[in-house]
Amino acid sequence: MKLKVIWFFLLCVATIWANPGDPTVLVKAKDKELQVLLRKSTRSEKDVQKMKVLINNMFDFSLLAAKSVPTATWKDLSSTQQNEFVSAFKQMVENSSVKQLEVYRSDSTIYEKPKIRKNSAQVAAQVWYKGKASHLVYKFDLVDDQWRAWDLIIDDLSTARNYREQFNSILRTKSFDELLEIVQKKAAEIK
Amino acid sequence: MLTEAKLVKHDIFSFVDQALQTDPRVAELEFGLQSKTDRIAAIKKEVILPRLQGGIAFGPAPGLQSTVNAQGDSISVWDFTKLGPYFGTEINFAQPLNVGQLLTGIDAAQADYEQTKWDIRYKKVHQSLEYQQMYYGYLLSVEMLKLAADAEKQLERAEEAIEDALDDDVEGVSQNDLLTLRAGSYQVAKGQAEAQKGYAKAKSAMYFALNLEIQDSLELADSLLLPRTEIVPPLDTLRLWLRAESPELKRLKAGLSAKSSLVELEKAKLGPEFFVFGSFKYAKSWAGDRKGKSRDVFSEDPINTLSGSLGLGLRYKLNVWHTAEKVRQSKTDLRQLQMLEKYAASGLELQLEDYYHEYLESQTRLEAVQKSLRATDAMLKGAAMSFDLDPSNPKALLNAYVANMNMQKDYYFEVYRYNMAVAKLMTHLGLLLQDYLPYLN
Repeated sequence: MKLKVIWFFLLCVATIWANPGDPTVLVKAKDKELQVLLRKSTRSEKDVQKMKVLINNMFDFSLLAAKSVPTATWKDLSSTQQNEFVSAFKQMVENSSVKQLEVYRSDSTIYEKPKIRKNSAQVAAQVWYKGKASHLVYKFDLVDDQWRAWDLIIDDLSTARNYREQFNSILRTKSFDELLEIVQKKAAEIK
Repeated sequence: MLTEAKLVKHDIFSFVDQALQTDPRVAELEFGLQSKTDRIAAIKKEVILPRLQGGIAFGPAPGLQSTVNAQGDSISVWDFTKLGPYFGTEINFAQPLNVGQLLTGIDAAQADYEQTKWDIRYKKVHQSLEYQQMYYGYLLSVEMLKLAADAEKQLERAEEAIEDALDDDVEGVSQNDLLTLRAGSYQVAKGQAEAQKGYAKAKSAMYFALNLEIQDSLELADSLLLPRTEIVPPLDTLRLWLRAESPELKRLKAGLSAKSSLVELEKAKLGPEFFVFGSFKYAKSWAGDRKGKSRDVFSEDPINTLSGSLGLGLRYKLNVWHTAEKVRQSKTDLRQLQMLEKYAASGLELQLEDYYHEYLESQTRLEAVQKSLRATDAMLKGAAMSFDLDPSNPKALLNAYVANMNMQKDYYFEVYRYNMAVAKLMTHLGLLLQDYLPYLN
């Protein structure tokens, strides 16, 4: 009997442990820290690096990269090519994010109830800055029982889809290697 | 003080019945009818001795003493030194003998009562229509609320489906499809807000009609707005019903009867009025030297008296020109009413035809919308199956869904229209909701 109780207890603990929870918590925590740094009148290099981590840490770049490259092309790539692309793409996105910090500033934010499906979730928020409202949507996938973001939609414009359209138009005239070269060049440029 | 919340359950029959019972306007009308009944009873009671008066008096009275006047005659004078007890009574009555005139008066009051009764019936039937409209309006608002909620859910699902297709890079799906869908979400939100407003208004009207408190719950037997199931007979039968049942015609008929009784009453006033009358008077004083003088209470003196009378009377109003004018006036009113009755019957029949055609039109429209709804249902099912197999054309699914939603909305409005067309037809015939029961399917 005692053994059964212990097993039941362990099962409950495991269930709670395995539950990835509400992805809104992740977004809220990140945003809180980010807003403090964004409000600073002077930012040190350390602050900028911290902001870069805060903005991008939530994202799974291998997912974002896979969604940004046309599916047919992505499937034909070797895993080395895919890893190379993810690395360059991550660098490019991370570097460009700190160039547009104003996009993340807000005076107030209201979070909507998250839409959670089996392995995916969406967190939407209404953000006000200088009296202007924007609608943000974070898209998450469940990876190893952790919510990992792979898209940020600002006012109906999806980051992943936007990249895909751009990459698609490049791939119409150029090869994947040329695209990789462009992304790597761009990542180094922004730096 | 807060009262305990209650759960009230109604179907259309019990709702209309309860609402009519609760309606203060109906209660006021019922009092009007009671007043007419009291008037008839009062007239009937006036038949027996309309004039019967009596009086009684007690008190001291001066005595009498004999004295001799200057001419040497012996006379009785008041003797205030010898006061004694006094008792007196007097009764007068008159009984009219014009029974015919009296009966005509009762007839007129009876006809007036009938007129009020049919007037109440007319108003009750129209209020019943108002409550039926309230009931169906409430069900319609519930359906609209369900549709709006469903539209929101479907829109969300369509958005999700397009987003998934976009994320999975499905060929043929563009960001524009998603944005087009979102641009249309305003219409859905607007429809939802309107549906909520309509529901809130309909609910508060129902609560008011039933005198319910905000914390009470109302549960309707009908969870769906369905077409009414009465069998409406052909127009010729309805014409016969109208002649037999219309409270307007019955009210006019009663009005004619009242007017004609009034003419008879005025005519009767031209003749003499016969009546029996009578009086009785008795007074007695035990003061002074009456005891010694005479023990006969009927002996004449200034106080003691016993008298009575009984006779047949006749009264004739000499200003006949005034009465004749009243007769002429009543006859004119009667002729006017007779003419009105003639026109009213044909006017009501014409209105009946209008209502009947409105009913036929709503029936045709309902059948047509049912057919179209079935078609859009099939289209939606087909589009949903195609979308499952190939999600590259979400627009086709969306269009099918919008068409189906609009058709459902039209269908419920047509059901409401049809139900009200039947209700208006029955109301015009003067039938209350309970009266239709034998004609239910």
